[in-house]
Amino acid sequence: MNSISPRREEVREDGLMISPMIEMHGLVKTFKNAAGEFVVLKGINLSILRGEFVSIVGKSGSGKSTLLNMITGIDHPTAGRVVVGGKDIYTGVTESERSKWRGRNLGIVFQFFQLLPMLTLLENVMLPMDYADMYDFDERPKRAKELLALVGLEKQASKLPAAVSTGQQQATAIARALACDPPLLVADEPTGNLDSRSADAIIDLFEKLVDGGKTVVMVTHDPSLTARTTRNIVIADGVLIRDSRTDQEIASLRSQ
Amino acid sequence: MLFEPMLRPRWRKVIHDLLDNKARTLLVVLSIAVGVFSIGVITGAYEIISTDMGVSYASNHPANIELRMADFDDDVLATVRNSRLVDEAEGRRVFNVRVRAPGTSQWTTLDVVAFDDFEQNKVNLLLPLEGTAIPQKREVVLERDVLEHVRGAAVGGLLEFQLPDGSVKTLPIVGIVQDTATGAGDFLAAPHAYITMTTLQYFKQPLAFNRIYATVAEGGDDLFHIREAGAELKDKLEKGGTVVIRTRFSETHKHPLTDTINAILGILAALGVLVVFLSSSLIANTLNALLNQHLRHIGVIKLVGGRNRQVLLMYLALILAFGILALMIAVPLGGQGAYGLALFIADQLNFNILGYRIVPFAFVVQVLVGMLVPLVAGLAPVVSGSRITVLKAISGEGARAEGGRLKGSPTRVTRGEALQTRIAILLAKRGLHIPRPLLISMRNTFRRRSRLLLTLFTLTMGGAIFIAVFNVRVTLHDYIGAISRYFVADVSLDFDAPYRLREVEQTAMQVEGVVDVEGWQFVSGELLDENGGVLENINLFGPPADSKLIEPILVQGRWIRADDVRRFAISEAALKYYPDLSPGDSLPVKIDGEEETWEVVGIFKFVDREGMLAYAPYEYISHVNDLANRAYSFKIVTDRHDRPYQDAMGETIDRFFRDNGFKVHRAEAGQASMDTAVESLDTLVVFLLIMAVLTAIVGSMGLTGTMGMNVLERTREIGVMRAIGADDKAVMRTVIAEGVVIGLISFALAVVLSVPFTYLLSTIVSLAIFETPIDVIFTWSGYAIWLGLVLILSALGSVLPARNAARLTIREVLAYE
Repeated sequence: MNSISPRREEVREDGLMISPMIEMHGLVKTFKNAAGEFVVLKGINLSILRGEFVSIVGKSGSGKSTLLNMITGIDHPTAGRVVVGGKDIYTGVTESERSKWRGRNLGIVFQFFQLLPMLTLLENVMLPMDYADMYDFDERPKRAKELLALVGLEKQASKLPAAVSTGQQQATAIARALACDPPLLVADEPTGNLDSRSADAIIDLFEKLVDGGKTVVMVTHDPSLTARTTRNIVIADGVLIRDSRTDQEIASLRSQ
Repeated sequence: MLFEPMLRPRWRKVIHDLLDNKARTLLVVLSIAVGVFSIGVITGAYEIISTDMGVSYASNHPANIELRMADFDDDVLATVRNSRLVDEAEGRRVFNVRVRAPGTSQWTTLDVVAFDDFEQNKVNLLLPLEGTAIPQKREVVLERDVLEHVRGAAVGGLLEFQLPDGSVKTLPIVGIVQDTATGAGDFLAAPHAYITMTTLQYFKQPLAFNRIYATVAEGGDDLFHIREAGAELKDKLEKGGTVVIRTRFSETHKHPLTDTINAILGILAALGVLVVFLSSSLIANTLNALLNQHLRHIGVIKLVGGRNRQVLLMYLALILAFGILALMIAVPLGGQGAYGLALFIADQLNFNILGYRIVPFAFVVQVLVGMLVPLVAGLAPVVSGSRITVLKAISGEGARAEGGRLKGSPTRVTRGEALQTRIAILLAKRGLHIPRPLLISMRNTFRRRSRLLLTLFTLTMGGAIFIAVFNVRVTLHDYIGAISRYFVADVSLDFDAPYRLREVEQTAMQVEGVVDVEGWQFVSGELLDENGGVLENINLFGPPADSKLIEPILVQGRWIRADDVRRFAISEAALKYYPDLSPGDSLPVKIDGEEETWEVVGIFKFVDREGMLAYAPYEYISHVNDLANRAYSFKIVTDRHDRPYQDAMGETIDRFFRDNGFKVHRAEAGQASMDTAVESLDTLVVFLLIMAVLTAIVGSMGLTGTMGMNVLERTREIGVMRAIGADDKAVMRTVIAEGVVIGLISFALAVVLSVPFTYLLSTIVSLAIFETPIDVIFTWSGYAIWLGLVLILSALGSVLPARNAARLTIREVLAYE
């Protein structure tokens, strides 16, 4: 299977007609270096529905993180379009505008957490609200505390990242990703740097978020995690080679 | 490229390091260059001025002896010329007169110098600049300084002269000359104009000389010998019945202002050394960052068998390459700068320099500074970098230790971080939440403490010097202001003949606005040493003992009283010759050719440039002058005291007295001479400001470098900020705010440091100019300007790094794969 056909409208399992969260059309990404050109993504077509918990797996160098960067607007495609939440994020949008958009519309969780070391956990969680200018200034600490409570870190709120465990740092990163209440969460190897207990806790958290209506897209190496996602996509050499949800399944959902 | 394969790989790495990051190379090179440039400018200017000032002065055959005398004729001049002590002697008539260009209203006082024979001029030579240097009858040649004072004066034009009787005469201007010798040592001298003796009649001046300019037959650079010769000539003249009012002595090859200029250049040199020092901290900072970035390279080099020494040599070679590049920029610029500064000083002080040239001493100093300072500054980071273990280097531990720990590995929370966090939490508990982007800026400021300290040091020094220069300026002005307490009168009215006090008072009071009039006496004398040798001229003023027009600043003793006989209050300049002088002591003086002993009743503060100042009561001096109840000089108080009003009243009083038949010599605003003095001081302040601005530039360069390095090291964090929603403006704001925080901290430190700097600089400058330490005054203006400047500089210094930060793409900085 070279690609998965995009759909304009899809049906969720609860039978509601909704628009897709992410759409990719003929996405190509080429890197150039002294050795020549290297095509990382070879014409990807992909549609991800709202409320899905999607895992993307592939070997190192398969193009999975590049694919994720296309969704988050962190990188830009050589050819093709990416529409997230109904917005074409690359056409006529500057890098700066994309940053602003990202702050309001999606949360990113990194493998190495990427908390700012000079800010406390609470301040780290408040930061996206400052950038996106969401919620009243005085309301932000309260919301950040609630998010830290959600990930079980309310007592660590005033500690610096260096003073807590890696699992706690990743939980904080998830709380930060949720700061502006984005409908989409994108995670790049979120458990890659954690022990199995912490990793379990993080995936539990993702499941909870999906149950609450969020869309989660996660890149992972770990096959055990794919079993817990609602959809699994495999990428190899820049091509989508398998999707756990078939066209038939989609058609079946639509007919219900 | 042909030779490239011949180079060993490690030297190719050095070349690669040099070219790889051009911005960093440029920063290091500029850091070195700015220090080399400043030291080049100062040493070059010092060398040029110290050589050319004397040569230029000597080339115009300056008089060693100047005798100001009552009118005399050719016979008296012949007496001087015939003296075995004298080589050349010329008689001239000098008188002052007010001039203006036709069609303008502003009168300016000039000293008009009448030459007997311009063709035979051998002393105080005139250098032709435009037109002719030899005026004919009823023509005038102007010294170039006149052009600055008399608007509209130019060769081919006319100049109007107002004579004492009020009549106006007009002469064509036929030439502009430079006279580097006449009045060279006097900051307050009026500009000069030159006419022939045959033109004197036109000015209703007697056909007689009143000055002799003479060069000595030998020992022209021996001031002691010149003084001896002058004293002998004076004795001879006075015995012949000619009154010598004042004498001035100067060496042939030493410009009278040499000591002052040397003192100023000394201060500039000290500041230049400071700039070098500051730039070296900039270099140390940059090299530290470079070594941090290169730790991995060093690890790899060691992994493949490189030894400490080899690594050390590689980086030392890199530093030397930076030095050579800096020299290529700074040496030619420094040479031009030195010439420019020398030219500026020469122009201000009216001497010429011998043209642009490479000063070998300055060149050597620049090369030494350019090569050694970076080596010294970079030695510590390079040595420690070369000694790092492979494990540390490869793991990047050395670099992380100073703050780059974003990868998620838990490290220690420093005490500083804990304290800052606690403060923010305490504030938050009180409802004061600092916006997180601002918190990032504030906390980032303190993450690289050694770098912060070096940056702060540079910026603080720049600020402290800048503020101190402003304080020194106000201090000098204030001192001049204090000195003006000796000249409280609004208008000084001098006559060519003595008038009765009552008569002048009654006439003056008829002028609207005149409040008070005092008649003053004046007598010229000389301070003698124990053997009767002349030490210095004394200007002995005789105001009424109860004069309201003097507010002396007494250092010791009391002010004069009406019953004081052969007693005076003398300026503290006398302490230079009699260090233990105190009230009650007697001093040997020569008054009107008679050696006498006068008792000192008080010592007061004053700036003596043209002879020493002393005061004795009118009541006694009028007796000495045989002018009881009469005076040549009157001081007038008006109902307002601002300069424009004083000028206007001077004009009115001048006209009124002339109209009433008085022989008015001149009526001048009381503040006139003070304003000239202030202008001269401002020229000096400009020199100091140049250096202050240079230190400020080095400071802001340091800040730009620091911010650039900080941004470079925090690209990952900036990427994260972008990833969670920070747009260009937010990223730039964070970086610029950090720069501004550093700027503000440096301002606070500069405020503190400016206090000792102000005292130090004031003392050096006042000793150089006034030969006495003066009370320091502080002004808010320097602080306010520096605050504004440091905010602008720190914002500007951060803009470039901030823009670079904003331009980084997130993929680059997070480098996923």
